[in-house]
Amino acid sequence: MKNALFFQGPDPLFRLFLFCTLSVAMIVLDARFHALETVRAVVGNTLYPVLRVADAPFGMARATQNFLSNHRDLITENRRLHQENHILKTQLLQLQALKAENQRLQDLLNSSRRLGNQFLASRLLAVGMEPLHHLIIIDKGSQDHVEKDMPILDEFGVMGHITRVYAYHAEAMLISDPSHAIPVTVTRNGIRSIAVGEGRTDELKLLYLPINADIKVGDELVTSGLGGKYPPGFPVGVVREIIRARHSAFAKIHLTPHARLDTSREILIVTTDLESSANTGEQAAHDEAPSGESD
Amino acid sequence: MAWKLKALIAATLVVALVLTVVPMPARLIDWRPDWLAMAAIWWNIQRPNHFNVGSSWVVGLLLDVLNATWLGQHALALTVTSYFAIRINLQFKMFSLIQQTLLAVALMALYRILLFWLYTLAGIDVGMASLGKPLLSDLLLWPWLSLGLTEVVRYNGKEKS
Repeated sequence: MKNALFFQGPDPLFRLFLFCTLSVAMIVLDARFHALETVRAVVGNTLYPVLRVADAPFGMARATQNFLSNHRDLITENRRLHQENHILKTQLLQLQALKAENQRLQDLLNSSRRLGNQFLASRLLAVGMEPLHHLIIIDKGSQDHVEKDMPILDEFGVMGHITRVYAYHAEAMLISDPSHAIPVTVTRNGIRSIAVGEGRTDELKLLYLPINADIKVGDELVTSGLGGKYPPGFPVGVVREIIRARHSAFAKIHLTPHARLDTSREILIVTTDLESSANTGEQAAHDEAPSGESD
Repeated sequence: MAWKLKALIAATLVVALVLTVVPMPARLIDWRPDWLAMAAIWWNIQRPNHFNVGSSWVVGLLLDVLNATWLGQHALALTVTSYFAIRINLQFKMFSLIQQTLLAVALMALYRILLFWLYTLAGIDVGMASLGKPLLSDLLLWPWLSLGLTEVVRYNGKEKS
């Protein structure tokens, strides 16, 4: 390297050609044949430490907060949580009864729909890098039996579903992603539709509802369970605005999602196996109904 | 000395990677600068014989995995941008900081436009707004990034002799 100032290695133009060809080849392989999932898995798994480092400041902030919170605050919080727990438990009593009743009715209708899901708690590690491409990365992976297509929720509503699983982390697409669609139903009258993302965390839109559809501002939408990806009955959003343009056959309906898509850091993964629960649903329902305790 | 420079390059890339993935409020996410691409371009210009088109390609591949895009999408955009950065590296160093910044942002604009085009090919409509916002952050950040990295390299160079 005598001539370090002017030395540039092999001709950059040759390198450009080489790596461009390689990139195009990879794009074709990935887009057409999905042949590079192993490469992706290897790179993704090696990136895990970096994700952990990126999360470290938040971990430290949590630890400091825990360390600095004083006795009195803890007692106050404890008391509040006790009360909340008490109220929730009481509500749960009623819910169990309703659940059993619902199951009996479902059985009468010969339906194999089943309530009761298993959850796995996880935390947010990183958020999607490209605007309008809404991805998040969470800190549970195949080691914790997370699988592709599992829905994720926060305590307010549906957030999205898992799109790719690595060893210790997983990648999920949010319902606000423009390429995401979720089958929903209106709780008031059971009208079904599909809610798609618009690339903004505070907005979804409903597809294929005619302008004379019975839908009002303030209507609640929950997952319909159609399509088999999302279990039925989880809150998705509330109708915020309806535009009925005269020249269009469909109404433009905008929703506000319930889930705090941009701020939630505690994320629940629904680990219920929807396929098998649909098959064994009736059996499970009979096992479950008398005891009234499933999760 | 060579391994030391390599370690330094790796360290700056890891820092850029962390800045790329760190969770941010949704309001600011559109404005997130292209940390990794900027770091790659800077090394392309300053040390073209240690950080060449191929190195940029690897960085692009990391971005592809992080963004869950087709493998090769970011890699292709960054490779082409890097080629031009290396081509102009000797002239670039003669310019004043303001001129350098404008030129660097022009390179980043090329990167963004290529990405935009590849996204459109993939059928993802990312919208024009997402092109400009990160570029503005890049514009504001480049001088500081450039000065900072120059200091770091100078310090690193002093220690070895």
